Amino acid sequence: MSNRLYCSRGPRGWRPWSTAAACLAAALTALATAPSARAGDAPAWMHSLVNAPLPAHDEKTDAVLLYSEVNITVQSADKIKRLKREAYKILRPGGRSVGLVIAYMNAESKVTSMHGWSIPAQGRDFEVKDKEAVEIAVPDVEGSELVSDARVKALRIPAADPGNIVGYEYEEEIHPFLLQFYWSFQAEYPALEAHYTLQLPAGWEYKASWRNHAEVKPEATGSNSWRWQVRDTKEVRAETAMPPMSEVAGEMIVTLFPPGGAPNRGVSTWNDMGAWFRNLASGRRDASAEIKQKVSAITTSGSQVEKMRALAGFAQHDIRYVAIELGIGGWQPHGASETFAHRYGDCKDKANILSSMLHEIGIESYMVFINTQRGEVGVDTPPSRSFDHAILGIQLPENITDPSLVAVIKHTKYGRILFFDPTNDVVPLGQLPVYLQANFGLLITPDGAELMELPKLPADTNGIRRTAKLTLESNGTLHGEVQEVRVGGAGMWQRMALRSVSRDADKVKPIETLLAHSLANYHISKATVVNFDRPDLPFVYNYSFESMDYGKKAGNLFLVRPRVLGAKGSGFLDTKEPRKYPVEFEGLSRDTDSFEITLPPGYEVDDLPPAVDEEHSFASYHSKSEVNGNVLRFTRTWEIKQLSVPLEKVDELRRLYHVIAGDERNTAVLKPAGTH
Amino acid sequence: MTGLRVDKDGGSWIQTPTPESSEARILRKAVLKVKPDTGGLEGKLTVTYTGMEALVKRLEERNEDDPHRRKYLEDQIREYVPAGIEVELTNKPDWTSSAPTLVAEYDLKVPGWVAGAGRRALIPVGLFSNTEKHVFEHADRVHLIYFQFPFEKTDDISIELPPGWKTSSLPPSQDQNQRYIGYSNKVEEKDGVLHLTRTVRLGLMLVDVKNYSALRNYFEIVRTGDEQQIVLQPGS
Repeated sequence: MSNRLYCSRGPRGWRPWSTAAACLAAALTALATAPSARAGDAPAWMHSLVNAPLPAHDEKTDAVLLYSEVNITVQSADKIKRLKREAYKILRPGGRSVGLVIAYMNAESKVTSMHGWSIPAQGRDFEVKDKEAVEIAVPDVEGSELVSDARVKALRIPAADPGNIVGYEYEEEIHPFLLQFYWSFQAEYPALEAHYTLQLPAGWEYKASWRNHAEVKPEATGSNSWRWQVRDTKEVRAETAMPPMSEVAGEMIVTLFPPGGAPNRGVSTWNDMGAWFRNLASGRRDASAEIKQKVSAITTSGSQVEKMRALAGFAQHDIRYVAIELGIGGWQPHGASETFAHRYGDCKDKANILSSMLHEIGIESYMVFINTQRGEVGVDTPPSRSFDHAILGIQLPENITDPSLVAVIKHTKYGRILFFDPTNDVVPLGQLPVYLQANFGLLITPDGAELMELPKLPADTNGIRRTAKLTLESNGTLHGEVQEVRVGGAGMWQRMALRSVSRDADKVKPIETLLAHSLANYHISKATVVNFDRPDLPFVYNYSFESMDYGKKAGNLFLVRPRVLGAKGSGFLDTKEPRKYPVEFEGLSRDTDSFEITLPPGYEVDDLPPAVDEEHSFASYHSKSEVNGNVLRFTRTWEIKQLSVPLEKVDELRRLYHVIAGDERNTAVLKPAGTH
Repeated sequence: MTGLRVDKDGGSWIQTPTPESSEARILRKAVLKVKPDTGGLEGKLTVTYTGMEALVKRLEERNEDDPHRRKYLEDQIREYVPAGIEVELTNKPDWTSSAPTLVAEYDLKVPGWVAGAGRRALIPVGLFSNTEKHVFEHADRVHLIYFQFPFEKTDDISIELPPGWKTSSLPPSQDQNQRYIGYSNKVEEKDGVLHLTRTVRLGLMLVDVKNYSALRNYFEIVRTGDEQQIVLQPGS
């Protein structure tokens, strides 16, 4: 669940620090000076677990969750109490981390009490209380807020060692923006039993939705009170390139309905979610005189598309990304006039001011909530606030037929909708960042809201096209020129990587890394970056290099690797553990290489590596080495055709990576001309 | 390192000795066979960590359990080999003693290590070369280079060829032996068995930026040597 749109400018994996990791580091630092614990009896609910059977696990399991309980007690629509209890048995040294309790707080929730206990395998129990806990602001992290009210309360439980049981409980007082709660009962450790209790006032109703788990019927435990129980839940163990947690872990979403409904706070449908947001944003898109003046100034001439581009560029580049999110400010955009006056804002502010400016030139647009990690929200996601980002859906007038506007879907009521992310300043109007493609967003229109799949752009709109003309000298030195054209996501990431680089010499470091991964030695004699400031054009590297001893003498033979640069193979599937989840690619892509090597005089090709033709439903790889006169030519194409490789085909992908790795090592053999 | 030796008269500055590279050694001894159908290598590997190399590994893993230590040692081998491998630790290394050596034994498979080139097959000599592959990638350096301690790595690899396979060409031997750095690489063949020996030695702890290009050049020599290939003629 997200309690705010934190406005990522890239997908989660791109940010160097996750919020959770930053919280953990800060909490550990703060707790280093916290008072020490004392002996004290653990509560009966924990002692009853001492002889409990452990849930199924293997030797790599660091800890098991013996007991989990969440009790929701609704006192009114504005005051709800939540009690959380958990107890773990630590099995391995890596499980010590369960001894650190972290509760998140913000304008919606405040932790009112926190206790922790440990029951060592030998000796007396330990207890820690509120006064041993620390409360800290979440440190600023890349892509997150400059100012926010998000805080954490953390408590370190003593004796969190293998063989011991640790547990905690904390209580929160919640003043919810929306009457909806998440119960995430499946996580990184196997769980023996998990309970969820809901106590509602008379006349209230609820709706429970389940993800990644069969529905469990509750047991009535009293007047308007219910209890759910889930037992023996398997762990979700992290794998490289796996789907997001919310796509694989069991979860229940509970939505509450006060008597007579709760206008704008219940979210039983996506329309309810849209109505809630429209209420928050009401009047905030209105253009001030200054905005109108600016729109006039930057759209004096040009076609309608050129005017749209000018306004999009203003939102991307002239509104600095700064997030100030206090209270409902995590969801409510600042007024467009305020954003314009200050020249800063977060994702929803940028989308809102662009919408305001587009309106001034007669083009309508709508806020789109989305999650930057594809799969967090899917077609089966119950209406909820599982979003972390806001972009814009722009209604294209009938007369606009510009072919560069490709991130478009056809809507039954609003016609063609162009999706655009003004927070991402290196993806131009018309295109869509690769991590938002084929992702589900909530289009919020004046009369409703609709969860829809965003466009998936073809593979050839994303990738690296590398061409090289090289010469091999008779002493083994290889030299020549390379052009590397990066389009779509491949260009976007390179621009992002280089935007904080000021020295020209540092701009070629990605080339040095590329060459270093393919050549034993190299010297770059010339390198230029083209179109760095023109995201509407492909990003290009042009460079020349020399590599000594590239050709290897072997007796009277000469050995040359036709695949000079670049690696497409990967070893992330070479694990001892059997894979449990599908493999997710960031986007469709098509990479091509074409290397021509002029051979040294007096040599001719004697042996060539075999061609490779691998065609699979999810990807393809074709490579070929051929000789034309004294030129050895290597060409290959690597295409990702599907965003997800299902589990039953993962082994096929692993074998494909092995074939590619083998092909990349293959060598051509040259011999002195005229010999046998 | 400079330290203060405290005595009854106050104290005096002393210099702790710089360790020799021979005080931190990794010996990788492998006995492998070529699988003619797949081009893979399979066999046994024994890695002996001596001196500082053993000490550092014991310290890193002193609070971990057996599964973690096993994965740690297997991951070390994955870091050594520049290709996807299957590796399984087969012994119980002595983690708790202060013996000068830590010995780990493995079953090792390296799929597709033998590359095809038409009628020929090629074997790269740098089986355990991966840790030297991506060091000092960039041409410029701003800060001093600090090595945790001087070290030596020695590889002693036997590869049995399938019946009928002939050696067409062996790469030339290399031997660069200087005061603080050294690299040697030699391949021999006898009775259908290839014998590869390789040594990487670095006797430095702190390197000034002005010497960066020389240090980088040394690793380029290592990488170039490791890319040499043995040319074989598979049997019919």
